[in-house]
Amino acid sequence: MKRIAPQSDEQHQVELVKKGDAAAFERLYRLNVRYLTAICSRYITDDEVVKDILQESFLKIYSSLWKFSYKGEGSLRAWMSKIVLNDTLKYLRDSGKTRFEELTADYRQPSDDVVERIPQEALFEMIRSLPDGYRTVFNLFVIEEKSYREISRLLKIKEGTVASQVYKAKALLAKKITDYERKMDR
Amino acid sequence: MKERWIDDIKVEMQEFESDSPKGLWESIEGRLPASKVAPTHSWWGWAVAAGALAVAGASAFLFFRPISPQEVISVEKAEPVVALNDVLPDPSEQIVRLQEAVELVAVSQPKEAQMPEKSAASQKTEALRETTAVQEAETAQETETVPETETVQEPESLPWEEFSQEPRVARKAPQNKVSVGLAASGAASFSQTALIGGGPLFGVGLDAVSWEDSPKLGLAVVNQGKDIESELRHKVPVRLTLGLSYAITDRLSVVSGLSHTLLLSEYKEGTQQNYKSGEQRVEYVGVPINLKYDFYSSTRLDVYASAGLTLDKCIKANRTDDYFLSGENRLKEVISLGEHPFQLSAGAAFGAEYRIYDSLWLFGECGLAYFFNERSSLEILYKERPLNATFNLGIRVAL
Repeated sequence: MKRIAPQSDEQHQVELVKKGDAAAFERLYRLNVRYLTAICSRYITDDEVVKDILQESFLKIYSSLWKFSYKGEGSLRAWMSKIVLNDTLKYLRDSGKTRFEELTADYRQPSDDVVERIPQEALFEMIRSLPDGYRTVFNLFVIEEKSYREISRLLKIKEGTVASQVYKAKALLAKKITDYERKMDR
Repeated sequence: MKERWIDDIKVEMQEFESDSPKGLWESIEGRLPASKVAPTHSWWGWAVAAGALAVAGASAFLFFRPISPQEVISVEKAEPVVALNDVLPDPSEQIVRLQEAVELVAVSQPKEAQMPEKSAASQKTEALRETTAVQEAETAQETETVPETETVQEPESLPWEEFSQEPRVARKAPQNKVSVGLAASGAASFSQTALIGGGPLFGVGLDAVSWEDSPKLGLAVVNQGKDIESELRHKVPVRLTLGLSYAITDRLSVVSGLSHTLLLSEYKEGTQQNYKSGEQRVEYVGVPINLKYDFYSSTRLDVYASAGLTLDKCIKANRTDDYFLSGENRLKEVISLGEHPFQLSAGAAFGAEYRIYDSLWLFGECGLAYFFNERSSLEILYKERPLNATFNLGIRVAL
């Protein structure tokens, strides 16, 4: 995993961009693009669509940066993430990819330390391999820490549906993790 | 229930990063506002935008400009007007007035200049035939006691060639016989009729005693001596396309496909109550080949400019003629125009496309195109005005 610490001069870069410095915007882009790509790619598996969404999001970031008020380290990245997430969810809603396949899954919790032993890339691909609707609710609930109510509003589906689909998504992912663990142990 | 594995996933994924899509920065940089990026990109965007605006403006101008002004091709002021309503009530008076009209119009003559498609001799011949039939019909209406053989002089029995070379002098037409002057007067409208493929003009004999039986003849007679107005109006052509696009670069694509174009024209000729009107319908199927440049591109919407060539093949050309007497439709004919030429055009357009599903895009374009003369006899908008506004709608599949 590669971690990028918020830059100490982040605020300075933002000010430069607001003054029309394209080079400063490119620096902000380089600092954040991999992180924002991961967010978008967790929801969308089509790389061309990911590129299109990120392109629109960065243009939106650039044109809206004058509205951004710096609130400490990490606030810029959080603000950018919100824009990317909104554009991603909008795409999912517009393209009807928030529907759920009818699946039945028994939830068997994986062992406690299993996730730590799985490489991040493999874990990332397991999440991406979930069916469209399940992947979306899982990401929103587990990683973005949205409540059922928030998810139901975001995806325009019933709250009860969110709960049951989160449960099924967890069951599907748990099975993938368990299978992966078995392969690791062989 | 404590779910440690879920908490671990959250931790692992919250700061996870992955490789960015190839070419992302380049595509973003190319679309940043011109004042904030390298000037090498800005002039191109502005040039395309200016070009698109110019094309859109010119298209709008051509679209809203009246396509074909009404034109009067024949205005004749022959004094004695012979109209159906005037003629029918009093048969004896009708004969006198017809004869007067014959004499007067024969002196004033020259409609031939308005019939460029036919020689003067053939026009006279046709007109004379028409007139013969017209008068025969009228005569038959006047009296049923006169036997057919006595009242009808067969047109074929006249020395046509010799007659056509005769000096144009007033000549008293014998009752129930051919009238030269009347023929010349009615020639303009009839020559139009004959040109567009109407049937022979001997539609009325003694047994057919009213104009309803031969509206073509009736139209000619009732309109003689009146102001004949001819109006031809071309409708804006609309092209529907099923297309394919192949991206050469992020912004540049080659676009082709199959298109269908419909050219509709309406015409009306005659007087207010007695006239001939109709619609000409010419259809083309064509293959366009264009270069398309996207100067705005998003997940769902592209705005672009394109330019290229289109080769169209005429697949259908026909016309519907309706004959109206006293405002009532008496005859309807559908005529095939018989020609199916190729049509080449070069054009530029400004358009937008919206992704409706996956790689399926719905697009609309407006632009300008120059249509090269295809040397057929079809009277279409492209001939009247080779440089035209174009409107194109369609569906495109991105390969």
